[in-house]
Amino acid sequence: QDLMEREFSVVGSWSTSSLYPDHEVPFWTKTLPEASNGAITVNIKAFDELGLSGGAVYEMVQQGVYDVGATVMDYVAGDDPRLEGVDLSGIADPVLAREIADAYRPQLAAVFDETFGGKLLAVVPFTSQVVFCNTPIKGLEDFDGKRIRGSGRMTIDFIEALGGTGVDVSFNEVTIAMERGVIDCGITGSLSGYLAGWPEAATHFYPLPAGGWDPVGIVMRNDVWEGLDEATQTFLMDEFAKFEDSVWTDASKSTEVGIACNTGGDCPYGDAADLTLVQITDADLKTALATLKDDVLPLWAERCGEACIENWNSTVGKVLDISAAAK
Amino acid sequence: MDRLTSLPRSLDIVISSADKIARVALLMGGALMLLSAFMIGMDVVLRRVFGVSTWGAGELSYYALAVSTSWAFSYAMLTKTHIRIAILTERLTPPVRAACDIIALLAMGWFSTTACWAIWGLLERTWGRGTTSLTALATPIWIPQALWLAGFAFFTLIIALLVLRVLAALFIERSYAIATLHGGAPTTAQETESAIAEGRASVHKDTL
Amino acid sequence: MLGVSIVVLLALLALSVPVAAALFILGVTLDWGYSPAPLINALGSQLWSTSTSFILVAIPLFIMIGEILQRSGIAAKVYDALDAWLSWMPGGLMHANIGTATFFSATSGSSVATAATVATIGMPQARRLGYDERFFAGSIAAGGTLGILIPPSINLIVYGFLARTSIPQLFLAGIVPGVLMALLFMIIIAALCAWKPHWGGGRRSATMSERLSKLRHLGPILLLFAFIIGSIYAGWATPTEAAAIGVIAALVMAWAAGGLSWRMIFETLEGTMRTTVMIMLILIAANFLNFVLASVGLTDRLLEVITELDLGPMQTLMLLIAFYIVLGFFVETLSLMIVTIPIVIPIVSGLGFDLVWFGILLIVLIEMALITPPIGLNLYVVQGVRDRGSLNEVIVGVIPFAVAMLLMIVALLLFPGLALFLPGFAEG
Ligand code: NA
Ligand code: NA
Repeated sequence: QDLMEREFSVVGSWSTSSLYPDHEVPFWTKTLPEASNGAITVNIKAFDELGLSGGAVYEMVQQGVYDVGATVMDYVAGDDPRLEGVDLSGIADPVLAREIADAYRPQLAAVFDETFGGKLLAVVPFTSQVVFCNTPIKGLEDFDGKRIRGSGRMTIDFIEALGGTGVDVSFNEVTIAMERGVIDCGITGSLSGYLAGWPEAATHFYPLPAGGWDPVGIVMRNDVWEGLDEATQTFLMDEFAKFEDSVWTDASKSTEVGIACNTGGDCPYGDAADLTLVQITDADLKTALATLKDDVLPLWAERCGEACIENWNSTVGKVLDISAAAK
Repeated sequence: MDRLTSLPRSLDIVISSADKIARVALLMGGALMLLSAFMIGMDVVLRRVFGVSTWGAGELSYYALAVSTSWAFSYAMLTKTHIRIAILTERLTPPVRAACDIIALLAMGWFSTTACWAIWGLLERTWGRGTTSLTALATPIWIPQALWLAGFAFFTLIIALLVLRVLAALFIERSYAIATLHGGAPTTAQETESAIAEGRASVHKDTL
Repeated sequence: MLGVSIVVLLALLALSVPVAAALFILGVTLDWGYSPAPLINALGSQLWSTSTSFILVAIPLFIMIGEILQRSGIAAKVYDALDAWLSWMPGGLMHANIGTATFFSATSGSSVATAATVATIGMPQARRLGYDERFFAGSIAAGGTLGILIPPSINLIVYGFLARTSIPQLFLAGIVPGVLMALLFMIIIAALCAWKPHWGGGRRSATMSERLSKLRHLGPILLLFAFIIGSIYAGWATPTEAAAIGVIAALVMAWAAGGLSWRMIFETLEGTMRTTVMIMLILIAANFLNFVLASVGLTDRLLEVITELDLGPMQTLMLLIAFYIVLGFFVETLSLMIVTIPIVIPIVSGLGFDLVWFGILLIVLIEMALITPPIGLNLYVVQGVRDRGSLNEVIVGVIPFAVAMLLMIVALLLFPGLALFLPGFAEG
């Protein structure tokens, strides 16, 4: 069928991550134009290339500066704390992480519509946020007494619930801070950490996503969306569903590559580092879930309100088989 | 006619009270930054030495930076501290120079007015969403933004007053000298003078 | 688009429109002319994110350290101590000029204040001891410029912010070239005065016990420098945190030296905010322009043009250096940096140069701009303190030091390691 001729201006997520060059750029500049027989064309730049802060992306979309924007949803949790509910600490299985995202999607869509006047097109993982330490750890119980660099309210709450101290150190300063013993551990994407040289300062690598998966929401301004005919809308949603599939599938792969690059495996990005791989045990996964339920989610419930936590319990809570409430 | 001839004088009175406000705001801004230094220093010691988690000193310090600078823009306007490159205009005839001064004031006014409008919009949205910072403080962002906007608004007001004062000097008092006094760029000589004065002040306490 | 931008910017600056407003208006013009979307709608959020940047809090704090030290009356003591230690060399007191400037550079981020202070202390003595005033004044004007190369440096913070480069790394990178430059100045002074002894006044030598007793005057400043740079280097503190503790330490030093009073504190706060606000207004306008340039694709276009010209990276770099030297004669230095960085940085990084290294190279060029006529503030400050003779004499006196800066630029081109050694070392 014929689609509307339309040019979109898009602001994508971090240019330095793998999501942007490996998925967003090819999707917007190849897949969409080809699948639409050239009806859809796209201008895309990453927000950091534009000198925008990650938290300003949806605001820019709402203000009409761009048609579509993508950023890590945690960055705008201050605008609406309900967005935090999709990014949970300690969910190791990417399939489960995706089930959570799918279960929470209606709520996310409602929040974007209400807060930013936007239509949610896709939810994809940025990268799993794993743990590098320069001191031996065996698992979550060893977070106790450690000083850990993390970002995001839920992540910090998670660290502190386990007895650690959440420290705010900027990404570029982590290696130095770890070398000098200012922090014991740092949480970031396994490949970002590898590429930024964290293994030079660290000794142990713990692939549990203690900082969650940092899901990215791709959002189009409502008036742009409503200006599209039905055929184009359906076309876009179909393409975005395929896009989500490919990113989530790749997320499992990049987790494996991340482990390989940091712990002496087969690394396509250079010589693998030889950090000690700390195995994720079933006990750790249980501890993580219990910590979420007893400490992290109750604090979040205070921030986001009763309706919000009820909605979460009836969606994500069902998937994880837990139920939380404000203290 | 009487009212018209008294306009420059009335403007002078308004400007001199605005100047007093600007000076107080400048000192308060400086005090805020000094306070920030103490807060950050305390935070570093608590965090690095005693391992206490940060409590938001850094965050408060950058709100202080935003608010104290926006309030200091006016003082800089009144004391001609905003940088203008006057190497060419210095050499022009008084009428052309006066025209350049008015253009310079209007350009600054355009910037500040647009900024006020843009910040007002931003403030409305952060207020509407109830946006808070992502830190332990969870500061409602509208509070620092409102204080920040007020500084920009005062800045715009000062520029408007200066435009009126320069026009009054040109068309009522018919004096280029007075126009330059209010709207002109500082000459190299004036800039040097203030730097030297500071250098001297720093040394004269001592006996050599 | 490129042509329009350059014409608009130059026209506005030539009309003496304030630099901040000129940058803003250029942004608005490009938005109207070349962007399908209303980029101006991003203004509020861009202004807010620049104004509330934690790293920029370091700017007022470093300025405050300099202001406190300047008003605490320790400058004269430092000068006195360095006189005892350095004046035995050919060129006598001029080494104390460079030395004092170096010491003050190491705690304050500004160069004009340093030049004014040293000139006020040094000039009367130079007259008494029969120095060649041209050369003596030149050494003060040039020595003052070290303030922006030796960390902490406001100019390096501004560069790091706009070029999105690590400020701790820039600070570390400035140390070796800064110290080398100070040594180079001293070598030139000694060599020229050995050749023409009447340029330098009578040499003086102090006894060892005199020297040792005066050493304590240097202690506090050395300690402050070691603390600021050490804590950044060790990763204990970010530049902003180091600056905050530096402010507290400087206050304690001023109190110990008996220089603390309410009046002095008021003057310090006023001086701090006056310099800060001048930088901040231009910086917030420049960051909005940065955003517009990237959004309308002007930075991409610029890279294309450079590629089409088919100059090698080295030739392009030479062109840039020539461009800064020429502009440096005429344009106030802070504006020169802030106006050009958004345009120049994409080119430099596109050509594959290290941005930390380029930052140091740029600062040396900016130092040169501070002592080249007709617009070179340090020249005017020194001339103003001299209060006799003509500006031309200072300009003549500064020539050997400008040559030293050119040598430094060549050295940085030949041995990038001069700048990159320390930051690389810190990385591990
Ligand atoms: Na310095
Ligand atoms: Na110059």
